[in-house]
Amino acid sequence: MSTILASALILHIVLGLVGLACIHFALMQLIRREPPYGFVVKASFSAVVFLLLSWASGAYYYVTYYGNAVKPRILDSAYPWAHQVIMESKEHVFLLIPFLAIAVWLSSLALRKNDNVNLKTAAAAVAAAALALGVFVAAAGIIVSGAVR
Amino acid sequence: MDAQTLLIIMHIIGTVLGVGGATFVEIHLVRALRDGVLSPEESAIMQTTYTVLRVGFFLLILSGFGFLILARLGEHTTWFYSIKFWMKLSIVGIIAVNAMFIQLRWIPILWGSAIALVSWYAALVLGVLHGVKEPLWIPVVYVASIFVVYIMLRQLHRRFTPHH
Repeated sequence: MSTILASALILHIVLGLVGLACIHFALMQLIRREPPYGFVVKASFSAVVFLLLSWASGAYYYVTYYGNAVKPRILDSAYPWAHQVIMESKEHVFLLIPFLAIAVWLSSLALRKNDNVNLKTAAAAVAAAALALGVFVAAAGIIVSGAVR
Repeated sequence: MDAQTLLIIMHIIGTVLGVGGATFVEIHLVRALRDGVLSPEESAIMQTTYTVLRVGFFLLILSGFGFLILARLGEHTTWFYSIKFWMKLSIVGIIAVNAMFIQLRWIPILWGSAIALVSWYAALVLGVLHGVKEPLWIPVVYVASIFVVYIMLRQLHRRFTPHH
């Protein structure tokens, strides 16, 4: 693996992780009785930025390297399901997460102007869904990486 | 200093802050509730301890993924499929979900405290436990420990917290 590809892979993981941490911060504030919406706006916006950057760096790695060099090795290994099931799920679920983060960010912008209990609950539920899907994607990444032998 | 050493230091600091923070949350809680009320000063101490705990958790996650990246780049990924590793990951997940449930008040505070305390110590023990061939007894000990710690915390609170 070249230095650029290794850097893209590291950035993909670290940026995704920081994005998840930001959505986690937003969620932990949204479930409070009186959330500091200014903080939630910043945290959810940061989540959007980091997740999109993780998308971009991940895209470079997957388009130029994974399909040619990694996927065939996994399919030939004792764990072909790591690609056929886990990676196929991961690459589709991953597409949803930034849009969920955008929904949380827009909701928190609206909540900062007019507090609304129903919108706050919905925003917290969307943030929780984004976090749960993010954790799934991270775990899926570990399973796929473990199959490269 | 190489990346591996840096990550080990970060991981140890994260564990120390997390385990220490979880322990001190309980100590502060018992001390603070001795008079039946949580004063603003006691509340501030609790918040500071929670912040230390969160920093520890963040360092632990970040350094943990650092180890995964190093292993992936070096193609030493066999341990990614080890049961002990997934147990440790599950315990980290339980710590995060438990913190959320405590904040939402979906779980009684004493149960939440017992789960947090045992999970942090379990993560520490699993980190230093090497050469375990059959790790399936670990979840049994983990769940049993939660019950034991819950009973101990209940006794502690009964003894030191006044009842009205």
